[in-house]
Amino acid sequence: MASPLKRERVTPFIKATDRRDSVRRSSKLPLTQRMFWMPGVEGVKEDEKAVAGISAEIVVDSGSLELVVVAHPSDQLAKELVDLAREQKRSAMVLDVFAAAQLFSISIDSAQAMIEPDLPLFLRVPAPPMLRTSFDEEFLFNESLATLWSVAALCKSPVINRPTSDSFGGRVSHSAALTELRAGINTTSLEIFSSSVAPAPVIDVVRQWYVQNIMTQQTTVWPALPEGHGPYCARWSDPEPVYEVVVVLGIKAWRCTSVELGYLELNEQSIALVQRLGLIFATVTWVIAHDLSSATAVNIEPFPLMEQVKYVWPELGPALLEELFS
Amino acid sequence: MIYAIGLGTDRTLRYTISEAMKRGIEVNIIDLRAAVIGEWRLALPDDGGSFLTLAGKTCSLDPQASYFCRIVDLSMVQTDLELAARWRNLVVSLAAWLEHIPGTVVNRPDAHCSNAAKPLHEYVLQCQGFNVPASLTSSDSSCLAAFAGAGPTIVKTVSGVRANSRLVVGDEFNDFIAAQGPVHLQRYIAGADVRAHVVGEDVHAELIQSVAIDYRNPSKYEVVFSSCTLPDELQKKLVRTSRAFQLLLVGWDFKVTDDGVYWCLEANPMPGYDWYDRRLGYKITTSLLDLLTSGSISTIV
Repeated sequence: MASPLKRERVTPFIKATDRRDSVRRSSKLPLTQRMFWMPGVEGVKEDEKAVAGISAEIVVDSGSLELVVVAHPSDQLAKELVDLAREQKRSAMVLDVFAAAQLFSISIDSAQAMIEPDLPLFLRVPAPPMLRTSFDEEFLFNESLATLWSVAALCKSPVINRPTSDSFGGRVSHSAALTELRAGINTTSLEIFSSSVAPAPVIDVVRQWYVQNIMTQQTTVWPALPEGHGPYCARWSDPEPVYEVVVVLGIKAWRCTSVELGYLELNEQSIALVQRLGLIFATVTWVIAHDLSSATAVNIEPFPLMEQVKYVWPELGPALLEELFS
Repeated sequence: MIYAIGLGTDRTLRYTISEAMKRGIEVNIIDLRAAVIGEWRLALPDDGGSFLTLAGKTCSLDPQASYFCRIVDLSMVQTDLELAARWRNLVVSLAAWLEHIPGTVVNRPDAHCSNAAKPLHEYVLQCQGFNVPASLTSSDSSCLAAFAGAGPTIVKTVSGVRANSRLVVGDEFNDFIAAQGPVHLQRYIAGADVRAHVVGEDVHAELIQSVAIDYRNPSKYEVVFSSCTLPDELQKKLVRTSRAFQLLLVGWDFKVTDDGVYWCLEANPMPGYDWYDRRLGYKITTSLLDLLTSGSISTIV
């Protein structure tokens, strides 16, 4: 049966105004895009990543600063949030990993941690480059990241997706299947990581075998092959999957479409999934059955791009600030 | 049969493999340098078809088996982007696979990783009831100088990068600028060093007496090693905390003062234990191989 939902392409970033009126169809493989052991905001081009150089001399007046967003300067969500904070007469800055780490002092003594300055934090740390630029820069990146990890885990001020001693970015894994298991989803489908294209393990007349070249992120439906030399990741999904994305912040959640799907309780389920992964902020992508009778969570992203949350930004932006200044 | 995964040049991995073979234990050796240029297929949930190829030979991965892991990602030191991508993908995929299998894994890659963030690690250890020397992590020269000026102080890395520790004094921070990055200072505890390896329920400790600041580095000072037995309560705490960290093998570092107070410096989740083991009569290896061959540790997803 054809879906009653109309097809819509993902548009380049524009300042969000209204929600879309349809769930999204996409040929993209519903896989977690995290390629790095370190936390990373995906979607930022390799040449835009922050490790290309140590911070320019950034003068930070920590005495008046009220919010720090650790992100690459091109991170649109970070910029929009800081702009919104400034509209509310709050002093806020986007700092890269190096400048942010230099801002803080951490004292540890007798099971007491003191962070100075103790500020609300939103960590959107860019992934390190694939190749080392220099030993010194890699060393300084690791030292700065370790400092920020400790600051964010131990400060008293609110932190969006506060790291713990076990993880920097919640229990989200490189593997979507492992993330689903950790989130308590027992219906996870097979996921294969391979050096060469992994053929579909069985013939399935209902689902299609999606293959992604992890280097290029090009995705094809088996037996078509993505270009390039891999490595690859492959997973089952519905043909022409129809998606709904739910943005979660604490106990609030917003669906990115206005399609009548309330009976699926996607908001409630998304909040529960995100909590089980030790997060408060994430997007949950659901594949909706073509008859709209059921939904399956296929991706949980703790560092969503503006592109992924723009339809709910009018609600999300103020809610993020409310959380950070609570 | 057990699996050993890591770099073929890693001294500790080679030692473990050698000791296992001497005891008649079959070892499937997975050298990541060979694996990364071969083929691999890793399935989650495992479907019985996960494998790596090493020098043209297929090595099936049994999810029920036991794995000794010293996994290092060399992607960043490659010069070829494609090879770097293969390294990173193999390492993170293998780590995910090892996280979800039911077999015994020493140690699961995601288990207690705060050792890579020393201030947090020290706080966690203090919260577990260990004496841990006070520390300051800062890029502020006046704060650093004040801390170093208030008592004997040692400088360490903030992250998990191995570096030589040394004493510092306050004056050394007079010309320090913030752009040099955060510095981790810790109050220095005078006394002997103790290294204790916890393997499951077993504790094997060695007392190291030297006036050198970091006994691991070659120096003019004499270093005297002797096996030791830790106080019963401390042994129990080490086993309990290692289990809480979900680590089956941990290298614990302590300083012990002349009046018998133990100060915890850190818990290493991937310890280079072979150096200590040789002097301790291979007791760490015995515990480790017993644990790997007993296959009694259940999964931690």
